[in-house]
Amino acid sequence: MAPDPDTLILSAEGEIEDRPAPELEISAADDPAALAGQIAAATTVAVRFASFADGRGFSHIRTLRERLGFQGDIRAVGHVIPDQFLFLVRCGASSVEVPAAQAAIWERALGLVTIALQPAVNDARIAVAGPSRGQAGLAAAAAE
Amino acid sequence: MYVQTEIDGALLAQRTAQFRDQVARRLSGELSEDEFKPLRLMNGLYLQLHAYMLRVAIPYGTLSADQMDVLADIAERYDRGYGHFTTRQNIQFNWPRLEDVPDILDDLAKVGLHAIQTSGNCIRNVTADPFAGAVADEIDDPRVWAEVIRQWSTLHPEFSFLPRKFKIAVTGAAHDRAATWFHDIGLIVRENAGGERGFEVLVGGGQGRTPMIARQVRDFLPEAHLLSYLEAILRVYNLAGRRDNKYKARIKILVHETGIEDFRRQVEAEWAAIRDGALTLDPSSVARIRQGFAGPDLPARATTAHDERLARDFVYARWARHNLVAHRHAEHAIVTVSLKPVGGVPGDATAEQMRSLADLARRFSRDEIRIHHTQNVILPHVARADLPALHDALDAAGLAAANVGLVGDIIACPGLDYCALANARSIPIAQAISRRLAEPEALEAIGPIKINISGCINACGHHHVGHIGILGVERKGEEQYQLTLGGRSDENPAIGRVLGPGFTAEGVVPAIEKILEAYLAHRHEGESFIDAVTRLGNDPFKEAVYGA
Repeated sequence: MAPDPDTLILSAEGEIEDRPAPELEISAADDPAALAGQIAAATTVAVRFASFADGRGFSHIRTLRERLGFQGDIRAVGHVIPDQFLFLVRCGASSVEVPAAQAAIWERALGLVTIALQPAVNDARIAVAGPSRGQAGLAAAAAE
Repeated sequence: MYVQTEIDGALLAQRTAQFRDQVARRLSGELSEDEFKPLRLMNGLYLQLHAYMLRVAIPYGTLSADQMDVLADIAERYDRGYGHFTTRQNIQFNWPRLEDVPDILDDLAKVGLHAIQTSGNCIRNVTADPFAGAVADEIDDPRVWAEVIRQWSTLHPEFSFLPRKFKIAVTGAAHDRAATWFHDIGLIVRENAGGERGFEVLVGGGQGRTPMIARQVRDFLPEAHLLSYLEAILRVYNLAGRRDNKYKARIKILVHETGIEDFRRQVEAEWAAIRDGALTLDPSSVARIRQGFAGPDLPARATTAHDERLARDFVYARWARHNLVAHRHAEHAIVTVSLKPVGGVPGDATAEQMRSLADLARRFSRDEIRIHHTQNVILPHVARADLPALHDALDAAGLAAANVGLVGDIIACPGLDYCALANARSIPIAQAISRRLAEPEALEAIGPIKINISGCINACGHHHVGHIGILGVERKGEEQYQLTLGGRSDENPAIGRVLGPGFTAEGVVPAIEKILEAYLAHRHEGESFIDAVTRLGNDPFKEAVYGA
């Protein structure tokens, strides 16, 4: 399927121009564990949000990374909002499909919060403190 | 007192800047109300009947005097001179202007306060026993654990878009003052046979239109695993909770429809996969939090001044009888300041009263203030020697109502006077009851009783767990009130049973008087209202109210 010209694909590092179509799409009602075979064979898996308010996709993304050990591209697609970008990245999404006109807002939204108080899947962009992190977490966050 | 770290401060500053940007985009028209709604709801900002309402979190109900002063300043500068303390230990401002909200949040942030997660389908402000760290019957300070949970749940990347809101309460005492059996998750600190500390974990309690008493999902969870276990419960709920109907979306419905055994099996399976991972609590982090709650040194002082005043002043003695609770240091007391003066609005405090409370907390309670879910204010560490001076200062500020736990100490939601969801007014009913039963002698004759009023089925006024519950409904365009009897939210949880057909606003007070008369006629020596209702059931009361 040809990519939609009104959208572009963003990762935490910026726009991804080469955009392979996902081999598999997981919707909110799906059980990723039941699709483990197809997931293992894929390089890009899309996780679809029918509405930004339906947070099941966040758990699916974590399950793909943490439980099923999927190493490829996880792309959030559908109705997501800029304020969710950091949450998506922290849960393990590696890309998100956004309206091209909104790209700047998305990129800006990602950097507004740089501290978290709980560990997640991908905390490369963020300093994590909190009660399971001990002094090391505090020191890292203080250095931010 | 626990002071949030620099990290908390930095996170708060970032979050406030983010919201300022969102408000600017809304005011310029770049964001529509539909697009703005999810953003404002993540910052405690509701659109009510007449205006925006800002709900400010008071974590585990604990405030410093400086924080109370800032709440007073906000009430004065940005509102109409008062604030409303809620049944969830928060405070609401009913009249802020949207363009002022970022400045309000900045003012709050300067003293470590915020409005994060006071609305929206996320993990809400964690509540705890309002007497924590002071009361005599405590095993462990629940605020340590509430703070651990606050940190973990703040801007949680996976659990900020749940099927519905999610409320967690913690108690560490023998007597449950945190209503743990009526929360999405209730945690009760326990010690096992080996002397190890942990939690009894309850799940699926709640009020609203489908009241349910929680079920026990685990009898003992070692403390190190608190967060991984919570994460397991939340993941099961996030994935399986109903999203097709907002009235069936709370975890209580999932637990009920799944069955507790099957639900437990799912949670335990999820937990088995993550239990020894990154969420295992770091003992040094917990110790640091615990240190913050260690509480003040309270040297023993002679209680003579209090004892003498008790003997010669019956008004003072009455206040002492109803508004004091035993402190773990015998020469001290926990003082409840009633925000329920006769004919007043339950939970409302003026800016002036807030400043008085801050001042009195500095002078008499080691800078500490608590908000009770009954919408009263607590001064937790008062030397008995200081009680006469405190009482007189409260009296001068109009805050010495001696009715804690009595008929006048009514819980009420804001109701149709403010709320967009309400079907009926709550505040005028509370006022009418408190005016009708204002005589101190009558209050004392009736003794301890909880009357709770909700202006609609969402039950913010906790009517299901009132010894007498009053529910406002709309019938043929008229406000009607339905009565329930026998609810309680303590360690013997029960949901009130409907008495019979409802009443008009004018009919409620006479019906309540008849219920109370029937109680006085039927009670055994020394038997409280709730014990009598539990023993007798509704019938004698029904007879008294509806009989010829």
